[in-house]
Formats: sequence, C-alpha cells, structure tokens
Amino acid sequence: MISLLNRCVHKYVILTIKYILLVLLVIFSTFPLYWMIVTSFKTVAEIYAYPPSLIPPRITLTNYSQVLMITDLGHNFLNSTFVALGTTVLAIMVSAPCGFSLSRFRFRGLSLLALLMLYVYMIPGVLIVIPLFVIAYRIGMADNLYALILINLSFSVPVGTWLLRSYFSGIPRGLEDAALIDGATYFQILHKIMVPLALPGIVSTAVFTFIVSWNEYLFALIFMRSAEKWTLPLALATMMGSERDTGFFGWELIKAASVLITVPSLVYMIFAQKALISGMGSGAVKG
Amino acid sequence: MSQALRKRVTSEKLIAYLFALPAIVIVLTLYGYPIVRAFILGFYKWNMLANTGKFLGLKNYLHVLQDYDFWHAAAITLIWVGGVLVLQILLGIGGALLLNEPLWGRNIARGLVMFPWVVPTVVAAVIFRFMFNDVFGFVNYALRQMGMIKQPILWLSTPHGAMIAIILITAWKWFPFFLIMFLSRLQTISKELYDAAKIDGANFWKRFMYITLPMLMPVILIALLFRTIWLIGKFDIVWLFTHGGPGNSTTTLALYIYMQAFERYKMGIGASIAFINLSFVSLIVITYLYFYQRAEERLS
Repeated sequence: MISLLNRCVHKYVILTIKYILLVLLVIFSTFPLYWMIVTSFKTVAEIYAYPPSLIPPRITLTNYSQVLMITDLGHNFLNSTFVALGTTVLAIMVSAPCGFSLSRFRFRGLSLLALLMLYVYMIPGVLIVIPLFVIAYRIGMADNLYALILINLSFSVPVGTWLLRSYFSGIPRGLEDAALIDGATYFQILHKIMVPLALPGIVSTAVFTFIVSWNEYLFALIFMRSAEKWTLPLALATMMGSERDTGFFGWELIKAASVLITVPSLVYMIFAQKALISGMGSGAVKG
Repeated sequence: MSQALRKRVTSEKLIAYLFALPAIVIVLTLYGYPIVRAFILGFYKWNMLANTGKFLGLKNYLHVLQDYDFWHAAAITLIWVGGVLVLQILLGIGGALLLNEPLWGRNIARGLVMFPWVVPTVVAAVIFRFMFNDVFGFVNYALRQMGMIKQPILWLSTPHGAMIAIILITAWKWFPFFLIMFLSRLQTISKELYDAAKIDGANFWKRFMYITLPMLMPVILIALLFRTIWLIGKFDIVWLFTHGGPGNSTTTLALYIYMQAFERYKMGIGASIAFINLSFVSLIVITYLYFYQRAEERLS
C-alpha cells in the first residue's frame, strides 16, 4: 500500500519536473523576444529604469510613430520584400526541375551533381563573396538589387534542390510510369503530377528560402552601397551602430524598428510552422 | 526493340540534364568561377579602383601564415565554434527529449522554441546588446536578483565577457535546429524498445545511454559536421553583436577575412585567407562525402 502511494507521488513529482522544464524551455526561447516587444512600447524613462519592469505600467506608441517618421524603413521594407520574393521564386523555379531530375533518373553524372550540390551548400558565403564582389564591381552590378537576388541564389538553390529532391523521392514512381504509358511528356508529368503532389514540400522550401533571404545580412552589406538600396537588416544594423551604446538613435527607436522587422517573419512562421519544422527535420542545415 | 529502348534512354538522359541545367549554370557561376577567381586573386595585390593587380606569387600566403592575427583569429574561431556546439548539443538533446514526452501543450511549445531561429540575426544582435548591457541590461539584473553576482558583469567591454556572451547568443539563435533534427529522429524510435527496457528494470539514465543516445548518434554526427563547417564561415551574428571586439578578442576568421578585404581593401590577402579556409572546409567535406557515399553503397 505504502509502496503504491510512493509510486504515485513519485510519478507526479516527475511529471511536475517535466512541466517546469517545459516552461523553462519556452521562456528561454521566447523571453528575449518578449523583452524586445515590451521595450518597444515603453517610454524612454521606463527603458533605462532600474529595476526594469517586466510588465510596462504605461504603454506608448510614440516610439513607432517616431521611428517611422525619421527613418526610411518603408522603403527598406519594399527592398527586402522585393529581394526575398525574387530569391524565393527564382530559387524554386530553378531547384524544382533539378530536384525532380535528381530524384527520378539514375545517371552517373547526376549522382555527381547531387554530391556537388551538397558540397557547395556547405561552402560559407564569406568565402565566395570577395571574388563575386570584384566581378560585380567590374561589370557595374555591385550596387544593384537584381544582383543581390542573383547572389542569394548561391545559398537558396543548393538548399532548395536538396530539399525538393527528398520531397520528390517520396512520391511513388508508379504514378509517373502510368502517365508515361498514357503518353505524357516529362514536362507534363512535372507540371501536372509532381508539382501538385509535392506542393507541401515546395511550400516548406519556399518558406525556408524566404525567411533566410529576408534575414540575409552579409551579401547585402557588401553589395548594397547606397542607402536607398538597403534592405531592412542593413538599415537596422546602421541604426544600431558599431559601438557598444548607440549614438544618434535611442534604444526605444531601435527596439520599435526591430519589432517592425520581425513581424513579417513571425506571421509567416505562425502560418507555415508545420512546413518549416518538417523542412528542418528533413535536413535543411544552412540558415 | 533494343533500338527503341536505347532511344528512350537517350531522351531520358537529355530530359534529365535539361531539367538540371539551370541549377548547374547557377552553381558554376556562383561557386565555380568565384573559387577559381579567389585562387588567382590570392596571388595578386589587387587594386579595386583600377581593377588591375600586381602579381606577387606566394607572398600573400606567406604573409598570412606568418601573421599573428590570422592564427589568433583561428584560435578565436575554434573557441567560439566549440563553445556553441557543446551548448547546442546539450540544449538540443534536452529540448528534444522533453518535447517528445506526451505533455499537455507540447505542440504549442514546439512552435514557440522555433522563435529564436525565425528572428532575423540583426534583431537578435539588437535584443542581446540591450540585454547584456552592463548598466541597465536584463541579464545583470536577473543574475543580481538571483544573488549570483554582486557587481555587474562588464559583458561587452571585457574579452572574456564578450566571448561568453557571443557563445550564449549564437547557441540561443540556432539551437532549434538541433532540437528539430533530434526530435524528428526520436519520433522514429519505437516505443516497444523502451517498454522492454522498462520491464527489464532499466532506469531513465540507462534507457538514455543504451537506447536513445545510440539511436541519435548518426544525427548528432551529421548535425555536428554541418554546423562546424557552417559556423566556421558564419559572419553576421558576431559582426553585428561585437564587431570583433573589444580589441580583437572576438574576431573570428570570417570577420578577419571581411576586415582585410572590405575595410582595408586588401582583396588579395582576403582572398588568400578565404582560400586557406576553403581548402580546410573542403578537406572535411570531401572526407565526409567519401564515407557518406561508401555507406550509401553498402546499404543499396
């Protein structure tokens, strides 16, 4: 009897510990974000107050209206959207046929190509950016949003191909053979059978590519020299400055800008969470 | 018949390569050509404005290999990558085990732990520069409240503080990656294995050591390999958070390459460091791909 009671208590103690750990894990992951959002709604005096208040006593929107007034974030937003969308669309258009080809045909050259894709996908951007900049500078493409899209393909195409290959491999071959016997061409098969069936995979690859290009900083820093071409990460990094404490822009403005920049990714994330997690689980390892 | 078959194979081959062509062109333009160019650039003293170079032979490479700052950056990279990976593996395994338990709210938690990854890197740098501020930052406040420190820690203005902070925030930003990879592996382990072990009287620790860990090992190794290579070239988080400082105490190789090439405009030196780095990375990758292919052949 006592041992049964003991066991019962033991079980609940363990369960409680698990829930405590779960809460800690969630706080660990989300608190910094919460802190940023809360700070962006605080008054200046409140931000530098000690001890800091976990829940602000007063909420103000002045930080937002001010930051939108004195900076060009709207313009940067358009640039970022253009680059991220352009990269995503082009990357999918290029990697879908390649992924299909790699998953369906067995030729020696193709398996070499698959290995090559895996290899370049591990080469960090900072290693290819110097020659790319020298070339772009020479042909007058150094300060150009289209060039940035093109360079973003360097990480999105290998990832996309690799991810889509695994999605296409999951589609049974029988469907395709049946269509071939019925006289369909490969373009029809890709267009009418494969793409609709692999749509969840394509969406998850697109989400992945979009978020990574939205957040991309290094290429934008090196290539986008004039301020009207800046993407959001560049604009925010410039606001923050290189020093430990900020100069011209106070923390309240920087925080408001940060929230504005994060919102699209968060919205995207909430809608596409499942796709994103499955994409990561299947081995997207860059980004 | 055999002729028809041959024709079919030829046309299949054509289709296969046609489909792959755009991707091949992109990879060759964005990797093949730049790598050859970086190799050549490494032998020159390059003048960006005139777009001409003076041939130096191996001088850039000799200069880099004798440069104290290069080896310092390499050591910094090693410490940073090592620290981040250890933390991420621990957080990843712990988090994955927890989120694999049948707990209430597990699905919401799975979404919430993805947040660090979704936050743009530059925003993460903003958040943590604020939180690690020595005067009004939340980290010092929390540590003080818990009674762990008496004096505020000067996170960003001391070499050790900056290194610890940058390791912590990098681990935070990308641990979801490990977590999700481990979690999707854990979900494939059959429950019967654990039930059998329980009947045999294995406690939690033993079940972890003899079932979970061996099952996770292949994924851990792959994740480690990919992340090591990826972190060696990682630029943005460190640059945005510390700018390599104070002094050069957090200047990793990626930052060092950037500073040489784009702040001092020594493209030749930058390219030669990038090439040394690339050879090192390639060596790891090719060794890995060799074993990967052999393993795949053995399976099929």
